[in-house]
Amino acid sequence: MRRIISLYVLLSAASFVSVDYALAANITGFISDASSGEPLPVASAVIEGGDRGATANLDGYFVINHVPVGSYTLVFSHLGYHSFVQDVQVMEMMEPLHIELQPARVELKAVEVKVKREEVKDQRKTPTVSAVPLDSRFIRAMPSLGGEMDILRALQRIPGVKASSDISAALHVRGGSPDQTLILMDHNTVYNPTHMFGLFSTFNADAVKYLDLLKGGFPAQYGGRSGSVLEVIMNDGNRKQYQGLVSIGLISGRAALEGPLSIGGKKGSFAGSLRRTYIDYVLDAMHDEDGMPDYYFYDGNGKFNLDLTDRTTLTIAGYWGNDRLNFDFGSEDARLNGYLSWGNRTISTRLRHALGRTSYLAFGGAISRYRSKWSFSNEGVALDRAREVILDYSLTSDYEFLGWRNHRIKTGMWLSYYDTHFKEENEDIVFVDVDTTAYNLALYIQDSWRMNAFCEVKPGVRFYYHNVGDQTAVDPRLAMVYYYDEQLRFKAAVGRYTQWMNVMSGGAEMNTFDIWFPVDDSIEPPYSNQFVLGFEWDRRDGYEFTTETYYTDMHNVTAMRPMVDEGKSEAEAFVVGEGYAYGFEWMLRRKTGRLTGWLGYSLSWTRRRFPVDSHINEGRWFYPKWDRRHDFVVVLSYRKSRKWEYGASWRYNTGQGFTQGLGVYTSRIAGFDPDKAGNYGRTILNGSKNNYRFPEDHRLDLSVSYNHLFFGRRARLTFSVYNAYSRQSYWIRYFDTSENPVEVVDAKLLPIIPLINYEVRF
Amino acid sequence: MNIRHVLIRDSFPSCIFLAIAGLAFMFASTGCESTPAEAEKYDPQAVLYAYLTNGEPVGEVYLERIAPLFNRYDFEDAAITGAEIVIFDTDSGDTLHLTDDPQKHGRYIPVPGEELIPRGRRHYRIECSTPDGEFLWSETSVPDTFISLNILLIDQNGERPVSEGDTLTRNDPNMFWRWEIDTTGGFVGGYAGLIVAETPRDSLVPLDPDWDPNDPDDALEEEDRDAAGWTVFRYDAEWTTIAWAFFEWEGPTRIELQAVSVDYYNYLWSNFRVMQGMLERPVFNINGGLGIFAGLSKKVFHVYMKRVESEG
Repeated sequence: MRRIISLYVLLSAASFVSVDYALAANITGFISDASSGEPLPVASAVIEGGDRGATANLDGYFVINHVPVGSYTLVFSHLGYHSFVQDVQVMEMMEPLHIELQPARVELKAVEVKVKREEVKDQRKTPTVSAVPLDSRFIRAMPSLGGEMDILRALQRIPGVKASSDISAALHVRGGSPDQTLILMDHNTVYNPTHMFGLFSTFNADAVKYLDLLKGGFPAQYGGRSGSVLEVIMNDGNRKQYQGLVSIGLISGRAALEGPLSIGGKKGSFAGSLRRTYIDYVLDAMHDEDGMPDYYFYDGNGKFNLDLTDRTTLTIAGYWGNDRLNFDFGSEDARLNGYLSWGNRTISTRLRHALGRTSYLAFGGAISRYRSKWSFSNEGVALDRAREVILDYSLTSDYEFLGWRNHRIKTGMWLSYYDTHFKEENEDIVFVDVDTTAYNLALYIQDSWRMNAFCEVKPGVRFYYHNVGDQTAVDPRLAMVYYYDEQLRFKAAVGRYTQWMNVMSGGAEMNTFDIWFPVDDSIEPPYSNQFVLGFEWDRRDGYEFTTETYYTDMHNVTAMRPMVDEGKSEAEAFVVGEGYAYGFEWMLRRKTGRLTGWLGYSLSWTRRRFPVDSHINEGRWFYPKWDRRHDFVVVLSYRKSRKWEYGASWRYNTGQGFTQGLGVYTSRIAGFDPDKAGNYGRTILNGSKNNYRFPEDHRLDLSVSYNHLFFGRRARLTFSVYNAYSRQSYWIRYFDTSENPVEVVDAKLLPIIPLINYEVRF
Repeated sequence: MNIRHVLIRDSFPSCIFLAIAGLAFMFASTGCESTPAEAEKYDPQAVLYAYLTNGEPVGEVYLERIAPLFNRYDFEDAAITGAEIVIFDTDSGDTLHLTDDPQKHGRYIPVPGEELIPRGRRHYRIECSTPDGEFLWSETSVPDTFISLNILLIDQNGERPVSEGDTLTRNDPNMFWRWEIDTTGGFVGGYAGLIVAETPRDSLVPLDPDWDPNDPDDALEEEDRDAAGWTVFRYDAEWTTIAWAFFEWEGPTRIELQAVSVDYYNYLWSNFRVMQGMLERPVFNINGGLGIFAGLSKKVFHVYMKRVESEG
């Protein structure tokens, strides 16, 4: 290891030793959207006719370093925007540039000579292994369930990402369970981010600016999860004018407002959005029956940005949302009452500062809370009630140094304090009452080093200290990109990924109530080793073809220990096992033009195993429910004219696994004659876990949108059809033992559902 | 990160296309594996159920073979006859041989003249040899005798003890059980509570006050006539409140609290986990087959549940 580090330092030194510092300067600046003033993450800046350029960070900040003093023409570009050309006189003491790009939908005037007319189709970029950045505008154009444009559901259509069923928005990325994906919203960790028992995600697509899914092999700046990362950046708000949106769908209404902000002469922006379902009112209007459940959810986002100086920006972002369900049924003298409530609250603040001409600094503080409660009672006697609270306080700092030619060094710290509580009881007995707290400190350093014209190396390391049990871990990461030519790049990544939170899950379908605990000193933290290899062919005509193959081995995978009804430590509450996943994916994507979208395919395997004494599948390997061999997906969006837009999404996948019974016997309870039971004691003897598969599944969703003016305001009427040919996917199979012979009963999911949505922007 | 754009090559040479095609074919071929369903077949294992109740002579043991899932099931068709079954008191050395019940296939009763009365805090072993050459065995222990069980009706006005034979309704105050037993030595793995309607199956009348025997919508289906409900409590429980929802049927009703051996508690608890989908099968303790050999100690109350008509 020491030799490798020495070699790296030597090679690094060699890479910038030839730079003539005396005659060079750095070109720095911010790239933003001309219509809203919002920073454009990962936009690019390139010196025309030369070989130099840079990719902006998530705040739109870029640095092209060590450019010899002189005159240059810079080309700035970003997908979906007209590129912009600017002449720059490079001198030693340059101020940052502030570049604004016009969205492609805006017609350009003839006098805007610096703006190229063509939409950017082949944005130069620094490829990241297994990354799938998605434009929130494209997601909003996709057909959606319930008229709710949903980010997590959109991500489920990317090769390598699976859903456990049509009614789950949880992400299973490359064989992982949902808890193995780190979900960040404005740099703040979010737990169990779903509404409606997992049907929708908590992310309101109207409020999202940028999202990037790192399916694996992610760099050292991210950590704490053993699988993948989803980074979501919410709208910063329009810095130039006020604008808003009001939307009405069949099950929910949404509103959003954003605009410029000025406090004490300092400029900034704000953005806010609200959403609430009105299923409760609809059901009340349709039925006037006793026992009708009362359900709704609401959520809201808010974000404020303030430029403290032209190099310093303060951001405060928050989210709050809640789901509530009440039901009450039964006879007069034995009523069953149920109450469920769950939701997230987050707040984060981030101070970003462009330090000098070569550095970028960000400090952050965040609080994320997830809380759920449920109670089931009979005539005041609590049959089961529970309360869960996850509190995650974090302090972060990130420092980006771009002063060395061909290097982009990033280092930082993430300090977390977890405080989780879960209590479950009935009228007399406390089943579980667990309070856990832990500090976790993560330090990282990574580099992105362009060794030469063909090769880029991205080494990194993440160090952890976990105060419970004085545990430490070191996660080395390494990624490489080989540029075959301007369009074709080969990529590889390898790394270790340690996870510091364990999850007691209600199963693949009910991630809404996943219970999280920071790792204690009784078990080792889960970790995985990931290996990724692939290439991307990013053509100039707007097409991109990517393919990757991966292998992940998972260690210390945890599951709830089935035979324990109490646990004083995590070793007693959890059973520790192992797993692996491997597969192959490709994706052909068209990013620009009237017709955009992708074709994707994944072929994958994942298996898990727990010790024999756990009784889970008697210690044998099994395929988790989300294991599927083949997934093929087509997602298309066609902009026929300014008025008409069409969307379609079709997917085909192997059926999911389920546990099939193998035989029948009579089960006997002491003190009771089975002949008096409703089914005479007939009982199914199940086979091994998920030993059968449902038939293959496929579904087509369609949408058509009509853009028009509504009293002078931009309006959009969207008609969509979920499951257009009404092929209901299988969900659960059970066996009706009241029939003899036993009968198979298949529960299937949603049929064709036509939906309508109307939104007005002002 | 600086980006260089000086690379000029023929993009995507044909050899890479060939490599991709080869890789895709290789993966697709391996992807067409047989599904797990084809790998697992029906296994006709033997199933043995034997319970030892503290202070009561062993009366019966059941032995059958797992039947195919989609065939019509009848216990007596699945029953295994002609097996040799012996229960040993491993503390005292007493043995009990069981033989086929001529009245019912698959039911084994003590050989005439033999008797075994299980006692608390003792260990037992069962051995079974089937005519097909299978050898099944298991061991268990029997919990101690209950010191007391009190059943009370409690509300804000106080508590009222329930006596043997009392008549109760679902409008009575909440029912509360409190018990005492020696739990030392690990003989008590937990508790099981049973509510059993003693009315003949075909005459069951629901306690639901809104039930109308003349309303076709309220007609009872065969599977509705489940005369027993059961629940489990942990080894350290000493009392519990029983929701009236457990009492479903009008008429004589048996309330039974069982202190059960560890094997049996695991079996009952794992049945819940099977229902929740966390486990595929209950945790059996019969070696060489399936089923349960377990010990218990019980306390029984009888009450009469009276239906209260809806005022509406």
